[in-house]
Amino acid sequence: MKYRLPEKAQRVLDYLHSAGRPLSPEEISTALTLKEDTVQSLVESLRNQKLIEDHESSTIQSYQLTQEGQRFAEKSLPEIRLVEILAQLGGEASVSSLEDYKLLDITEHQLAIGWARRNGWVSVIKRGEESWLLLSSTAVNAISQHPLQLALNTARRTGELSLDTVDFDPKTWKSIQQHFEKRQLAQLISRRKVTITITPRGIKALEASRQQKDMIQDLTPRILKSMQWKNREFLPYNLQAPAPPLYPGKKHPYIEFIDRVRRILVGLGFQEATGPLVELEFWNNDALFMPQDHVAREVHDSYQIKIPKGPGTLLNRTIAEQVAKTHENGWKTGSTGWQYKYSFDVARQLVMRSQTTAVSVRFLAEHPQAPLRMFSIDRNFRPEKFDATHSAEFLQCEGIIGGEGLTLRDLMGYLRAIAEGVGIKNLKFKPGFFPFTEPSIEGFIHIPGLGWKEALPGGIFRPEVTLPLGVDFPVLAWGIGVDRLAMAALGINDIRELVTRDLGWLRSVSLRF
Amino acid sequence: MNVDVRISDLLQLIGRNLSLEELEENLFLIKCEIDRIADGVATIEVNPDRVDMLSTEGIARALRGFLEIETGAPKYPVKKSKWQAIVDRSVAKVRPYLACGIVKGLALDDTLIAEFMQLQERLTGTFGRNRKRTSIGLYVLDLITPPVHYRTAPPDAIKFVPLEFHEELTAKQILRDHPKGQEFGDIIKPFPRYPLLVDAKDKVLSLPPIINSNDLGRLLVNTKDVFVEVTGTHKQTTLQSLNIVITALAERGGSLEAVDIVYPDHQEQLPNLSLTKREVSLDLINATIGYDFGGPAVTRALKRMRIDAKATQKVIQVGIPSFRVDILHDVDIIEDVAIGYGYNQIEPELPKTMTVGQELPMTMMLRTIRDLMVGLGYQEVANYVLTNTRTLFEKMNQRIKTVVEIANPKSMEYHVARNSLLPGLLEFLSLNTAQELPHRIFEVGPVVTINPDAETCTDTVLHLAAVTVNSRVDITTLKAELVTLLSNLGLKGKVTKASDPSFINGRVANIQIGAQQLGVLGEVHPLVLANFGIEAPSVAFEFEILADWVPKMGS
Repeated sequence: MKYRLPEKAQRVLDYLHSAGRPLSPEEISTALTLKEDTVQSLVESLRNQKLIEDHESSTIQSYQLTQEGQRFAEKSLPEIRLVEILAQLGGEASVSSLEDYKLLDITEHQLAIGWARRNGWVSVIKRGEESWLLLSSTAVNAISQHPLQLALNTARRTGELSLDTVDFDPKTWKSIQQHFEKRQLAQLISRRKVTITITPRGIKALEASRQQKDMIQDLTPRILKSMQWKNREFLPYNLQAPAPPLYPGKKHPYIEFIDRVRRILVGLGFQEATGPLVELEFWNNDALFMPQDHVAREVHDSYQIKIPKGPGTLLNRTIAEQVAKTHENGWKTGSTGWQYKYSFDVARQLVMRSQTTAVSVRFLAEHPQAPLRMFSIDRNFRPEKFDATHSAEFLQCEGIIGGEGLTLRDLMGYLRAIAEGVGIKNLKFKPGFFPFTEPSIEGFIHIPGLGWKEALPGGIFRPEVTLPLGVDFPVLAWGIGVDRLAMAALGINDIRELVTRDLGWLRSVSLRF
Repeated sequence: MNVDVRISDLLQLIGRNLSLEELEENLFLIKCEIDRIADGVATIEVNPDRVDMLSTEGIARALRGFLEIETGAPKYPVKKSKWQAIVDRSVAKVRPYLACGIVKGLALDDTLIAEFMQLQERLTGTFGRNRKRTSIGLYVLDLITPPVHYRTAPPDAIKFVPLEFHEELTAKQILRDHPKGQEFGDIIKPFPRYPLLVDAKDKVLSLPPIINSNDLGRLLVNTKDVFVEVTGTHKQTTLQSLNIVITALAERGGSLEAVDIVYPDHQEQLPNLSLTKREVSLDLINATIGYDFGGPAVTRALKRMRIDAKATQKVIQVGIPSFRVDILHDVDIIEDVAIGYGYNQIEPELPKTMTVGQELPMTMMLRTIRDLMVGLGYQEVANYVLTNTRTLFEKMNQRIKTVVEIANPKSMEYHVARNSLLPGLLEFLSLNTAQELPHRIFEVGPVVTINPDAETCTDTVLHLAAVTVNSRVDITTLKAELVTLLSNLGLKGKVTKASDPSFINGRVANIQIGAQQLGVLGEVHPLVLANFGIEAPSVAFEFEILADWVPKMGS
């Protein structure tokens, strides 16, 4: 045994060794002032290491008082109380007059009389119609030494009456036991008693432990300064013992994943932008050429704001008017528009932003110059119920690329470059539809186990979107389903777990993904 | 939108026995996805711009073109008939437009009848703006005595047996008791007179847009000749809806006949299935897609998309079928060229323009803050912005203050936007009481405050908050962490005594950074701990991160 014994284990071994005889854990606990369960677990550990062994394992039987037994231990047996009453009355009384004496409850009368007669303390005679009780001469002495009562008293005082420790003679004890059982005054219970001794191996461990007192455990500045370490040995440490779990400060894996996507996009030459979480209908929908009366703009597609009531402000009146005209009749864009009456009141209404494309058009309105490459990864809100595949609050990553001469092929090229950047090699393109782009693309990626899934939407902004914002060069718009990618990377099947409330998972999840 | 299509039926209409894989691949390339297949029925997802494909007939027609079985715009000859539909002046204020057509010689079975009802529902759903813009009715031609009259009548004067019912109901009763009346009644309720379609004998065809009559408006298996009617508030949508339904019926072998729609001041003969003519510049097509197509390549691609096309030197002259409602602009035709060419044939290209990528300076600042908090031993946590007033205020022992509130929440769990981070962190901790102590968590994220002067009447503001829960907590350690954090951010902060009902009196302070009060620090009040079911003491701080702390690059 090369390693140092823990301090308490050492004390136990030491005491056991010096006692020179088998001890029970209770004795050790009392002697060393250690809690009984502490001693039990130390004993268990020492037994496993074969430093101690069981000497004797015996079963101890003892009596524990029942409720009735407790009662008679406190108040004394009814037959004894009967004797006391009779003694006070001069040695005799009628049975009926017993009712006057509170010392004995009426329910106990028959019991008391019966046992008192059997014990020879009382005799019953008839005087006319009445029964009378006569005290015998020996009764008063007998009750003060009555073994059954003594046994009850002892049991009450010590909690139990162990067969080993009674000091009645065998015949009396047998009688007491019979009374216990017959009158249901006490129950017999069994308990295991163990005594342990130190083994030769244990003795060796103890000696080694004493020797180790000379080895250096903690290297301190004082030991260093005094150069003591030159003449002493170092106590080896058990490095193979399992280490306790630690919970360091740690970043959130979902936020980390998003951060990595962010850095990849920056590396591809994109500039980050952001926008307000509460948006105007103008930027959330109108500027994206979504007609104001479209069914998708009703209560099921975005959260309308009750407080503050609004309306918000359209800061750029020129752009607002150009967008309005485009909706109504196409304006200069060459389109027919949506052929309805545009409302500025609707445009200024407040909603929780439902798509990050709102950030893209805001950016475009503020930077209508080529070339431009912008991205945003930000929160959006939609009236959805929360379940494994839907969330009312989610991140979207979207961006735009603007410049002279940009084409559909360039859009496909960018989508492929972005996909490769986040580690996706298997990508195929499908024509798609978005109200604000034409032509549109849906990039599908292959996820093992799930098949082909849509993950990279994109398209060329319609002239009805760009021209009213003052932009006359092609603008490619693209998106990445980052929540879906994050779920795949982190091995999560339930979208709600991206913002997990499980501290245990956060503590244990690996940051290598 | 999803369309359920019987695969055997679809293949028959296409005219080629495709394998499932071929079908799926080709559908993919014309914007459709097969969602699932069960018992020979495929659920196909169709994009909202192709409402002409909301039925098996429309999908088959598109695939016949794409597979080059039948290219160019389909021809649907329309014979003249003697039928008229007379529009009364009074509908102009209620539901002004009527479009009608006749289809003869159909062989309908129960399945087809059911499928055409589905087509009507889908079409009038989004495209018809839930029947507000248009609604559609199909009738047994032989039961109608022409001319049809489209007029209005007072609600009490309208009485007929609605579809699937057995007794006559008044319009009022229909709006009140019939499910379609309850669903769509609001469209006509505001008007003193409701629109009504009747025949020459005054038999009711329908109460648009609510419900057909059971006598004339129920197609049966032996019905050969059908009268199609569309009413609406938007002219173009009304005409286009007629075109889509009637060409779908034509695809089932019906022959088309016209109806004269007689308005008070003009007449129209419908259906008008003539092609819309446009011209698109070949250069624009090539500049947008990124190839150098010649005329033949473009016309071939468009013909695959069922669009007639003829190339001249500089321009492609196109004839767009009457059922295409999505062509508003040149770019819509250009997309069809790309689809007709094949999205899987287009080679991606990466342009050589150079731009410099950059993160928002605030992003970099937040990363520094997060790194420092991790260095102090805190676990990062992410919570939703959406929350409820019980968590934000009541459980925090605060009175309810005004925050951004949603008018149409899906549940009262998420009906306001948070104005601070601490409640969400305490909520997080309340769900982790079984985890080993200490719990040390932080969050950096946006909160929303109300600002009447702002563009959106709100400000989106970034906060940092941190909470420690342990069997013993030490507020001086927390203060030391705050001080270290601020100092490592180059900020000067101090604390000033404060009182805050979420914290123990005498153990809470305001955090002042620079000249502004930006946050709070303290030991969490036992009432708050009890409300969240947190069984050990806790200290916490939160403060706002100002945009102008962010150092300017290169300064």
